[in-house]
Amino acid sequence: MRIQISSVSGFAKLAKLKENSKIVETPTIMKISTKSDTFYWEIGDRKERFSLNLPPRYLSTEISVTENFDFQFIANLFMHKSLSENIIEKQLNKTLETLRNSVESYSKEKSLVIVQPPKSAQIFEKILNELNNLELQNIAITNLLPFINNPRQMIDFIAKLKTVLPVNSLLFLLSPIPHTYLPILSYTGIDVFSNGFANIAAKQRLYLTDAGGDKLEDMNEITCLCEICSKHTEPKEFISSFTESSVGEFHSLIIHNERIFAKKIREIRSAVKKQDLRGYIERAIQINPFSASALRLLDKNWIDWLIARTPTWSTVPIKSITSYGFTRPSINEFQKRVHERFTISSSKKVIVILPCSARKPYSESKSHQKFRAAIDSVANNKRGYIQELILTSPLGVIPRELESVYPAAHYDIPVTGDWSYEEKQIAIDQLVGVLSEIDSDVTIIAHIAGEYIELCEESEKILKRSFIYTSKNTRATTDTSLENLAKEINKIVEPLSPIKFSADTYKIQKVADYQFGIGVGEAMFPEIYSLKGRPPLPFKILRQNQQHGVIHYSTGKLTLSMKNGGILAKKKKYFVMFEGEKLEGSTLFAVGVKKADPEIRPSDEIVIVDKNHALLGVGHALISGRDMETVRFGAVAKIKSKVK
Amino acid sequence: MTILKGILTDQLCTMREKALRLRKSRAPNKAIAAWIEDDRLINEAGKALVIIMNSSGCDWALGEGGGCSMCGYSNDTSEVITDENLIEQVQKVLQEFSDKTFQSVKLFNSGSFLDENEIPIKAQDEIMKMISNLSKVTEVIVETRPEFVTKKALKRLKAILGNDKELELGIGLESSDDFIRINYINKGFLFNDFNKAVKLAINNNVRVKSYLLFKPPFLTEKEAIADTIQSTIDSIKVGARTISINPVNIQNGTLVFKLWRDDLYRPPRFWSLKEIIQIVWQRIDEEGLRNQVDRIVSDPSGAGSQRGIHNGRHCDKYFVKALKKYTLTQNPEELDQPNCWCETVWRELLEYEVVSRDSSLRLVENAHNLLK
Repeated sequence: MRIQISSVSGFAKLAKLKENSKIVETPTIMKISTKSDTFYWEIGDRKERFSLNLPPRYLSTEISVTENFDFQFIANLFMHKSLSENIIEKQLNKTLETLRNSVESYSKEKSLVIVQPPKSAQIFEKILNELNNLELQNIAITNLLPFINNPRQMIDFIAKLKTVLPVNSLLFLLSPIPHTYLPILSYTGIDVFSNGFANIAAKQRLYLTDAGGDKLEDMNEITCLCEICSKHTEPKEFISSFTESSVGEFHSLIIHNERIFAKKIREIRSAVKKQDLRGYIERAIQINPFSASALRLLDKNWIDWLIARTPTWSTVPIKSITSYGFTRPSINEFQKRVHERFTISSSKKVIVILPCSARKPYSESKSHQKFRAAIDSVANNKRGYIQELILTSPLGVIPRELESVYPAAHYDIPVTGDWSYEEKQIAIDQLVGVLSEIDSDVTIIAHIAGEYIELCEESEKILKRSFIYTSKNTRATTDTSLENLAKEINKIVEPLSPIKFSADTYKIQKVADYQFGIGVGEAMFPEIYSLKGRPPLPFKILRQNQQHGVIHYSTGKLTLSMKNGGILAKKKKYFVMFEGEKLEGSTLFAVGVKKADPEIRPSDEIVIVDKNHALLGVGHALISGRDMETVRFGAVAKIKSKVK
Repeated sequence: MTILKGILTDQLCTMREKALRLRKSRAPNKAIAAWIEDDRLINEAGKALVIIMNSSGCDWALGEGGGCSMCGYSNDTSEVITDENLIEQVQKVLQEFSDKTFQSVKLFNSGSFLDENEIPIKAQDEIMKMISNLSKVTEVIVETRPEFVTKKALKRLKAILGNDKELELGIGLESSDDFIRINYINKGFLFNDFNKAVKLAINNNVRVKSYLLFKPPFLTEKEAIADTIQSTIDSIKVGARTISINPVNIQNGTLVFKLWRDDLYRPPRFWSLKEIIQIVWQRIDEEGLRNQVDRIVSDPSGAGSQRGIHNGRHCDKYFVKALKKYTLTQNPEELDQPNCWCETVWRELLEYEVVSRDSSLRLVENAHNLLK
């Protein structure tokens, strides 16, 4: 059995399970099937499926493994939270001994161990470490239902599994959880769900719908148009068709309910494939308070891990409709990087705060073309004194140089002119953060109107300095206010001595800083460069007709050249340390990895180095740096170029 | 007898100590309860006088064994009880019910009647003497663990009671599976110990009633059904002529209580008990055991309540009645009624518990609630 990660998204992942040319993609469901009167599980919601035996009793002293199943349960840990730690530990040791003694009789990739919500965090940590030592990483969860009213405990339990075990481990959920819990639990990291609830609900005459379910007798509309349901358009007829035929069996109801499950899991898988699981989740959590609380708790308590496992670079639009979008990992990380990796150059003497626009990147919008025209009216040799900042929700502040970086050019929000309290706080925090270290001789011009004024005024109070307002009483795009803006800027820059400035170089450096850390930009790009390219093609970074890398239009990501890879390797940043001396092929596998920079996130540009930090190649990460160190098999990065 | 520790023993000892500290004090000279009930006698329906004595408690629960995982009877005992107290308890009950008719006396002391530490010989003898004077009584039932069954004790009691009254020892075998009994129930003795006690009893003209525990913790309900069926047949084969099937009920201070409170244990369902009884009678016929069994009874404590055997409120009260009727008539067809839609749900959950090893499926019994 091979388990191959295609992509990660928070704790969720898209993975391919492969064996003998059969492929099952996760997230998926598992269902009970029969063959010559014996039950077993089938994993997969498409034609190709893998089989799994039935779970063993607790405390089985031997492992019975047969060739008949693709996956096999090998142990069921006796760890009910009602038991004393003493008992749990004693029995755990016995089970581990059995597992160690019969290590030859089972295959690790095919084996599953059953766990349940633990007595204490310590004992759970111990159990997981022991499983790690045995290299058993496929886990089935049971007895999860008591947490159905306790999102905090459920999230913490599953997230613990996801953070202690390697990222390519598989989590199976044996407890028959309702389909409405599938989205949030996928995002928390369950890979395979039992669809048992579909059957159990059918036996209780429950007709499942996308958003929940109704008792047959309470149905007023048939909302499903599948071939079973569409036979009857009248609820009454429909109900009697179920109840008259073979009372108590509800065969067609089971089929319908199972389809609802299959549909849900396919929606989820499709969202992961489109790299838009987070967007899907933000919509799906409205289904019940549990899901909404769970997402909040994940964002609050597990954000570091979510960020680590969320690709930095993407092209997927972000629709930030609800407040759940404010804490989205991509947004959170952008804000953090603007804080930590963006500094306003000391040569800047004027900072212009601008409103955002619907069109992204901003400079392609009509309003920003007007703003830029006004700003560019200053003498060419004074342009380098000006720094533009764009104020927006929920990202806060976007420096002009980072306007194409994901997700700055990829988000959309409902615009009404009213900012919520939270949105205001975010914007003020970000603005104050960016401006807090600015010298007192720098002038801050707020070319904003309407609801933005309040944000700037609040920031003035916190910063204890005053801004110049150039469009306070009229829209920012009116001729008067644009003239005002040009006038105020000119007033400041006119007396200053001329300076050299290349907007392209400044942008390239700031993108490199954003990507790899402060100072990297100037180290990699110490000369004057220009950006050439026509969207949607990547911009080439050119100097004297020589290419020094590209910046992708669709993601804003800078691609490493070998020369810049060398610089990054020296700085010991974004490195993956390779065990060997020479790279082969186009993929780096887990077995070759000795160490990796924990800052690395999926999709990040990376350098592959040897034990002495000498450059071996450049490429991009498939999983996070933390995860590269813990996975035992599978691809960790793509190699783009190698040292010859 | 040596103590056979199970995997739960240590925890049960700790829990027991705690529970005993919370024990209420009771008047030592008053029985805890006594009543007359309809009951199945050896050959027919009749009346039984039940006396729950206030004793010093079960040796197994108070000692190094820690007691059984589902048993909270030690909560209803007192620290110091003299033989006079015990005699007085029975005396008072017999006086109170002197104008009532009953053919059977059942003496329960939350432990072992034959344990001299719990019921001193003097008290055992006096109590038997009092009962021997009740002319209408034809059978006397006491309870005991197998280690206290000795030839000497049996002969002594039998001599006092006389030959016109049957003496029956109720022994809590619980399950004929040693692993389940030792580890999940923490009973501390083997099937073979039970077997020996039964042989001894039979040789001294004393009958044995095998108490079976239906649905010990850590088994699925389906496994529990199979276990109780097998245990019934095994009990009959070694010579127990009365079988009492006891579905677990939740008693405070026990491990089962803790599991139940954590949503990891659900008392069994009536449907399962019905299945056990009907299959057991089939098996008895198939294996030609009819003449080796007098009665298979079940009089569950807390039947129909959340803490006792129950289905799902729709049909519980009908089942309580049907079960009572079955016990009196010994006709398993009495359980053919009631019919209820929840039978389908039961069957589904029975299977899902096996395939998921999830002990918290009680929470999907009302699946609609989870969709709100």
